[in-house]
Amino acid sequence: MWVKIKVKYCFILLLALISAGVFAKADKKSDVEFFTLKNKNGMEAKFLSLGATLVSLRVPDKNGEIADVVLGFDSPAEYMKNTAYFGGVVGRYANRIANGKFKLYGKEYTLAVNNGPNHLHGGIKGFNKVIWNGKKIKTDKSSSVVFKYLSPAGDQNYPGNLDVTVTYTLTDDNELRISYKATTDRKTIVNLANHSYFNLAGQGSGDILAHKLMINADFYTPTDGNSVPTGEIIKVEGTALDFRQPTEIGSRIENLGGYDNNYVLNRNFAGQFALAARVTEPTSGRVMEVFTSEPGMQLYTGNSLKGVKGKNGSVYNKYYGFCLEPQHFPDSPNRLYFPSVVLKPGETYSQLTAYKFSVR
Amino acid sequence: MAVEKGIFGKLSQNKDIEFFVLKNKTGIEARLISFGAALVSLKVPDKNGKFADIVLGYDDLAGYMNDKCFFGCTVGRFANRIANAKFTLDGREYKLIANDGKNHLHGGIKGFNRAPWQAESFENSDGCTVIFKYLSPDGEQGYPGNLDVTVTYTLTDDNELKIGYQAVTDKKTVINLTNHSYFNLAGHNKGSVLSHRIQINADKTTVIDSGCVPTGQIKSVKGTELDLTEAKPIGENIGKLGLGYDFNYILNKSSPAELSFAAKVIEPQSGRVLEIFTTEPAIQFYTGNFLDSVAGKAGALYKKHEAFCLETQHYPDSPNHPDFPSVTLEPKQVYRHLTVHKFSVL
Repeated sequence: MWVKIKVKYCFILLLALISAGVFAKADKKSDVEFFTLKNKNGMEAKFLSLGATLVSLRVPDKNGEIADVVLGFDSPAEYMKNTAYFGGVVGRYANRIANGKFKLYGKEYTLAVNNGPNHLHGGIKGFNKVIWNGKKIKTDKSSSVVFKYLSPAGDQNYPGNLDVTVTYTLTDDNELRISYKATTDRKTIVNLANHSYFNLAGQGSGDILAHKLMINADFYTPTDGNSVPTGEIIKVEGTALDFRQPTEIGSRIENLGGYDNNYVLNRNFAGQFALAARVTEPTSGRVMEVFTSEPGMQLYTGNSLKGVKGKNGSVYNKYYGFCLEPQHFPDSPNRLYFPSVVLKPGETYSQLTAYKFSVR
Repeated sequence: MAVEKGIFGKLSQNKDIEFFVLKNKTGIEARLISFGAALVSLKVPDKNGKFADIVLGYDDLAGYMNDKCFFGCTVGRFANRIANAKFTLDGREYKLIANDGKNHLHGGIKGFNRAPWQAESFENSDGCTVIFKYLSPDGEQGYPGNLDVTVTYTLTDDNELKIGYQAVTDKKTVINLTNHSYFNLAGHNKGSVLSHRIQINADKTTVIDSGCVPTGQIKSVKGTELDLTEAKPIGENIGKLGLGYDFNYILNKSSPAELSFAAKVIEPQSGRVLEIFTTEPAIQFYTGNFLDSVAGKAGALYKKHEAFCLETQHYPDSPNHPDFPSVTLEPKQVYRHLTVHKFSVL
């Protein structure tokens, strides 16, 4: 009896200590860490453990001049306040879930509604707002930062303890590779993405409308007035969404008010790691190719940016950055015929996406 | 409840094809044969208790051996079309037999509809049952893996004909099984089905090209001639559809693989009602567009639009559309499909 009580008290004390410790840690600025990866060509990628965020990406142009090609902020505090998801990992579910509701094996789950009537990018405190455990790893040909986060069961109302690992690798082939893995102890849904805003002329240098974009997709998922898929899959042919041939981003943007669309990527088989997009910036000559194992990719052209104060005094306005976010289709939990986003115990969610840089 | 069985015909000197008759307490009778694991007759009462055979078929085995319409049979390994008779699995291309123009249809020249299945019948608490088994060898019709297939027909006292499918493989492969019964709820020899009323629980279809192969597009049926979300006569819009209906409908579902309502057909004169429930993601609705005076049972001649098929299945050409629900079967996984045909009267 005495032993039992003692054990119980110790346990409670331990819990109290742990929770106090955790809170103290989260509040201390010093626990937010930065990591830097460099390659032999002068490329440099910098990350922040808050949101497992890509905060800067320095890439040479055709003359060897280096510029930072992603939008961002100078301090972790600004990332915490940020509502544009600059450079962060979004999850548990990137993109929208209609009405913040989905059903999984007969049980309905209600998520936070944080985007009109919808759930967006994992909710109010998604993966971009949590502190990940970061660790740097170096091999012969590349160096990596591994970020881990254990999202507890019920986090933002999603079921299951979700164990997530995001690994950023910078190779000597000028590729920034992002590998995502996740496992669960209960049936749940997962859709992860990185939400970097690119400007290949350099962040803060103006709009991205003159960038030439090619997207390897014959189809897209049209949306209703609330940016949620209608469930249809239709051809891009003959629409302003057709980027099968390299086309200036700005050439047809006026009537749209900007792009915020999910493309169905052309692939030979499910999970094929294949070219998704190629972007060329004519003045600097920088070229970025996107490869992914994902079935879809969201194109977003920074339509909501307005006077955002960013790095080194930059101010970001509409169209000052573009996002190419490989992912599953929006609202897949409610469209059961879209590629499945269900993760079961014993399975591993896995995604590989690469941003490859060159010049022309 | 009872099962009757006997010899339907001889496939060769040494190979008998068996028939089985399942009966329930209402008097419904389903007759099945081991050639193609096929449903050859289905006798169902009308609103006055009068029985009629409501599926098209032949009188003898020769009819089924020469059949080109897939009357009543189990279709596999892949029901419906595969574009250009090829697909890629894990980077390897598999070539199939092109038997529908340049496309592969219903498992090939010698699909499951032409296989001599092993059969076993019994009675249980659920009703009476026939189990058909077939081992499709690795490479058959170009498909990889030894595929061990079981099709179970059960007739219940609730007037349901249930068809359950299971399959396992020893090598990664693709699979899509269905039953290809042609129904005419007035009776197999009663002419056009255009006055039957049909409802399909589907808001979307897969758009097809001229070869009936999906383009990859998925479109809403709302406001189009394909819209069958509210019950309407089959004949109402059929004139606007060329030869007739031959479309894959994406069933409305709230959970993957749930057994849910797919379609309902009413024949106003006889009052017979057929409801279909399935675990499959889609249903092919076909209106016998190519029936061309086919000599059938008891002297019947089956003509265009004299029957309809509601084939529960995955989408056509899924092996070539990685974004469609997966039709891949891996070793240690079990393919499962359950479809229920429920009969009643108005």
